[in-house]
Amino acid sequence: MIMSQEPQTALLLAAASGERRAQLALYELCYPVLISAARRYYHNTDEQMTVINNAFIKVILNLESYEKGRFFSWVKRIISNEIIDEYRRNKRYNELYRFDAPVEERSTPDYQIDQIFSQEQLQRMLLSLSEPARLVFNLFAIEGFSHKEIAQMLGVTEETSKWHTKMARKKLRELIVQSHEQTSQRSVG
Amino acid sequence: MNKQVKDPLDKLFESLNDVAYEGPSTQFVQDLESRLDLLAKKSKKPFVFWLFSISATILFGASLYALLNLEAKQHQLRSTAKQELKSAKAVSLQSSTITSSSSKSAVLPSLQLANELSNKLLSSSSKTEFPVLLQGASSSAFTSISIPFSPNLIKDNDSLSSPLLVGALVPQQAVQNTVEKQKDSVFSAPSLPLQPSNTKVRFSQQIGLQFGVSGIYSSFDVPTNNPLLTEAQLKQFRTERELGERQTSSWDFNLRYGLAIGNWHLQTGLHYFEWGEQLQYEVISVLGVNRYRYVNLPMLIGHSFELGKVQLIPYAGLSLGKCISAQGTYIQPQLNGVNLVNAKQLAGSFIAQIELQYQLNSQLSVTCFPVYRRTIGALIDNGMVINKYQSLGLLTGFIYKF
Repeated sequence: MIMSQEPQTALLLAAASGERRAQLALYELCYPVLISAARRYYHNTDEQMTVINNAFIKVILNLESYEKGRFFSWVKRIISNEIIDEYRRNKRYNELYRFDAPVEERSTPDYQIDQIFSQEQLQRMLLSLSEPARLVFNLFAIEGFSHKEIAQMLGVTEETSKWHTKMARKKLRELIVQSHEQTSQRSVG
Repeated sequence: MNKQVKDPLDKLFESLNDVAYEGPSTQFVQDLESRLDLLAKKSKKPFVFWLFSISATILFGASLYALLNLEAKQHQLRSTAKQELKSAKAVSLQSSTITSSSSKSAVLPSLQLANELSNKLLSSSSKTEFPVLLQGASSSAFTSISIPFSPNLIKDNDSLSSPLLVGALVPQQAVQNTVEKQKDSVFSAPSLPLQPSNTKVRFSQQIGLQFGVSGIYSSFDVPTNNPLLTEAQLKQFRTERELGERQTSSWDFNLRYGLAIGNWHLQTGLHYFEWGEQLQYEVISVLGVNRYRYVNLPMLIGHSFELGKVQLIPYAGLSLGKCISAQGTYIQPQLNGVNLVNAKQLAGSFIAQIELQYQLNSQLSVTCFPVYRRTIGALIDNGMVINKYQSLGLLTGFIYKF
């Protein structure tokens, strides 16, 4: 479900002026967008809370500069940037450069992809990726940024971004196959 | 954004971008509220800002009024003195004919007037015009010589109880010699304080108002071991605090009462100042300022050194402060949130200051001084956050002596 309804201008103005009730009401509205993004990147609740609340503070601080339009897309962009900043701050940045081996792309039979996965299963698979691979895959496959944009955001080359995407896909395919095999075994049993 | 043909795997995971409605947990809301509190605290103008502005306005108005009033009084005294001098001149001119024709020393007819005038001059100004009667061979002239007045003039020569009499009683050559001699001695004498010196121990009281700004420097300790945290975590905690906490400034406001016994000065009153620091933790994106506000009761002792109109008084002492704003926020040792702390309700500080006082008149002085303060012991100590503070400031204000 995509949030299409814009918050009322009065609510935004009140939140920007520092009215606490308005800020909390706006937080309630933004929370689903924020938590959905945070869950794709972080396992633990404390990390999710830190990044969500950091992003929301930035939303409040920048409300005056927000021009009417797609509010929730703007919020999504803020949390994506916050996640990238958080990644940088936690000094995991160097891991982005740790790649050497060429990645062999293996095609996965369609029937395995067509298998229905719940959001929790998909999230679990995503979170089992290495941090850089998860970050790049999230930005590329889920949030829809191009490799060029990701390269600019992370300060790496496009090749690096592509390499991490391939690594992520490889690992995810393995997990899907693994999951398929487990399901088959259960049905045989 | 990405316009390429999507891999089927990417499409599968794209569904994670969909948003389902859900509300935040209490833990999330509490954490957000503490951050919003910090944000609000940072943007709000502190109470002391208003206190300072109002007091400064009142003080400025009162000082201006006092100075203008003083100026008007001095002007009035000067014009009265001038008028009386004119009358004295007239009297002297009338008597000059008598002086030239009769004996070499003649007494002015208006001795009483001269004495009165002399007394007024004594009390009104440190520099005045002494009329001197210069007797020429052919005519008598009455000139004025501007001489800074000093009580030494009177002390040195008891017979010259009034400067006017210098001209009135002594013949021309003697007058000129005496005037030259006294001019030399007066001009070469060091300027004296307004209040006449005396051998008794001086005792005076003073009240004053000062305000200024201080820079606050905080230092903290991190426990070397903690059962709940590893050594690496403690090290990281220290690093994040070092990087994230910076000095801030404080408005200072002193209402003081002083007692001067000879050259020794005792000072007490009410001092307002703050301790604290700025926060900007990169790890958790927390911005803000911790301010611990204290109203202090100081006890200072000082010794004055007089340098003309300027007094230099080094003070040192202690103060006991009552906290009026104790809550602060710091990063948690786990680096994943903020930790609320409270400063001590009663805190002791060491104070040292070197005060410069410039006397505007016998009662009003303007003062300016650097001040150094240091907390005695830790102001905050909850086991994990152990903070001590120092500050260096510059204050200025007025002192009224009585």
